[in-house]
Amino acid sequence: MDTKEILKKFWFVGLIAILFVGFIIIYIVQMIQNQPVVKSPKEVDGNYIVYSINGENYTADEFYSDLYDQYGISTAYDRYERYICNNAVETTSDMETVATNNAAYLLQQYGEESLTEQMRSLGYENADDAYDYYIYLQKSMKLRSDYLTAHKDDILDPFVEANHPKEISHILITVDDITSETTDGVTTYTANPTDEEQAKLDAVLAALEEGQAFADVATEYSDDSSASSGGALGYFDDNNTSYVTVFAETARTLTGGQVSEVITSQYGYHIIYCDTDQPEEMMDDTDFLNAVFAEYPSAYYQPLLDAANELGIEISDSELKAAIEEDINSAMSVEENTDDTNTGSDPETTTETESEAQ
Amino acid sequence: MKKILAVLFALVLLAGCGSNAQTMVSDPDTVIISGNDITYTKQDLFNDLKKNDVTSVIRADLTNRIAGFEEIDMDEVTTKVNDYFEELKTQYADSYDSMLSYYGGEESFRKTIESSYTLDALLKKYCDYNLDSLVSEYTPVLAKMQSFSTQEEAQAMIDNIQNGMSFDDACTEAGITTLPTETVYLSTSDIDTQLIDYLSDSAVGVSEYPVVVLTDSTNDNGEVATTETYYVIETINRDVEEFKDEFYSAIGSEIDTTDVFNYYFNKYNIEVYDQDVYEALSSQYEGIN
Repeated sequence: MDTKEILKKFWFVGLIAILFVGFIIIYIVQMIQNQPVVKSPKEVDGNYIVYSINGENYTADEFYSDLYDQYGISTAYDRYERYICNNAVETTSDMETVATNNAAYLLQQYGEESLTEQMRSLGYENADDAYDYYIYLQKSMKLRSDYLTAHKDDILDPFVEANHPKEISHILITVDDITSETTDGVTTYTANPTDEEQAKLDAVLAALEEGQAFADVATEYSDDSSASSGGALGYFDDNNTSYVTVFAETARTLTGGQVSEVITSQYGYHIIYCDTDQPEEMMDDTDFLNAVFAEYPSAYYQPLLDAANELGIEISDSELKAAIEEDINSAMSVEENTDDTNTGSDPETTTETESEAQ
Repeated sequence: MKKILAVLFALVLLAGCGSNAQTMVSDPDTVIISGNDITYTKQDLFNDLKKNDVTSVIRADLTNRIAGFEEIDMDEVTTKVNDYFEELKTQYADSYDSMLSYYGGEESFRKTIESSYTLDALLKKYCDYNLDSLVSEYTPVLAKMQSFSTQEEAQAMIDNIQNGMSFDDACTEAGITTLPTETVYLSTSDIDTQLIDYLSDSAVGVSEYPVVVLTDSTNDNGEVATTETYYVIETINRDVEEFKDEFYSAIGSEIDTTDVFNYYFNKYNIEVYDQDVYEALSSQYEGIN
């Protein structure tokens, strides 16, 4: 019998052998990959069982109920918002670029396993979903920033008038020898710079006088960690409590494009620059947007509700719908009670200045 | 036909190798969110809910079940929970409601506290079941200690005790105003190793001689100075059955609750049928089948 005849006669046996070998290989691969062995799903009286212990069963429905009590509303709301934002806003090439870069950065920073864990905590499946997450984030902010632009008169303008938001940068020249004096609760600082420190300050002032871009001068000379980003400190407004007093007071006086005089704090010399005080130019800054939302929660929720209506996306579960509506209405009721002292800045904002102060 | 069925069966078997076991809720297709070609169902929500921290939810359920198996006195637990909340009311006064809100409301917070006290009761039973190994690991001793900066003072106190004075009276005689209390010392106690060594095989009674502890310290000039401290130690009891509650209190913070759950999981044979729950539990506990 030649090979062809053997194969023709015993094709079935050969096929079963191949399938059996395939089964063995898959099992071995799973063992090598350390995948846990799991029993087949179990059903009792039509109910799926999550686990059994000492003969008692914990059903999937009981598990669902317990999980819902803890996480149900927030999980459903997150999904609801994600659906609306992803469908209401078009994906742009800029968004794709940002998402690609951010996802790659996260993967490099945390590795696949850690990133998968983080993505799952955000309601995604694995590390690959980081791209989708950043697309969603950008669409979420776009939805809200478009709403703010459309409601400039009733939200943006009052917010600006009350809080004077701006983006700021600074140059820090560290001075080791600084003395302080406190009079009537006000502390003033006097720097005693070395020749080197003075020369550095003089070089900074000369460069700015020459017309060099503030960011370039900051990158070259600033002793603060913000030097790597052109001295950028980000969002600032009248309610900001992150900076030392002399710094915050000076920053408050600046308008778009202005550079401050040299001021002295316990860290050294500062020169502050106001990058912009125009809200239209701050729409990509999540700190600015969050400051607006803190004071005007409607700016956060109303565009979402409007888009949901437009798209016809609705929560069909009446109990869940009522709970989410209650949470949204509660959040938006804050707006009615907003007073001038309600902070608009992110209390978590820190800079090298503050971290040194701590 | 038979061959075709056999091949199909083998293919199904092969396909089953790569599948994950997922549990389904009842009415899985009930729509939660819909519109614009979106259909988000109850099963979808269940799968998303499981991406949160399921371990705490599972553990709370298991704690209650195991408490039932072990016949824990839940009335006693309820009393402790009620007492705890009464203390909180007194402590927080007008801020009580906002404190409850911070912890997710009274019902949710009460469940958490009840689970904690129930676990304490299970921990105590775990200690009862494993007393011999815990004694072997921690070598508990009930003792009192008093320290002195000079050998003479310490020896004088020992001499007084050997002449019939009680430990407390001898402390008072030595000018000590705050008398040392009976303490359960363990092999892991935060005391000098020389004291632990002494206690590891000390006989009941007062130390015959002061136990010396030498401590080195470095001053601002970098010079090392050695301080001598002299301890009078009274070993009160080495029979842990006679101070079991104090022993359990002493090791309470030392015992890892993971070990406690591992013990009960093995005892009561837990079997998991959901992949996500299995992965969550087996990454932290043993005995997950």
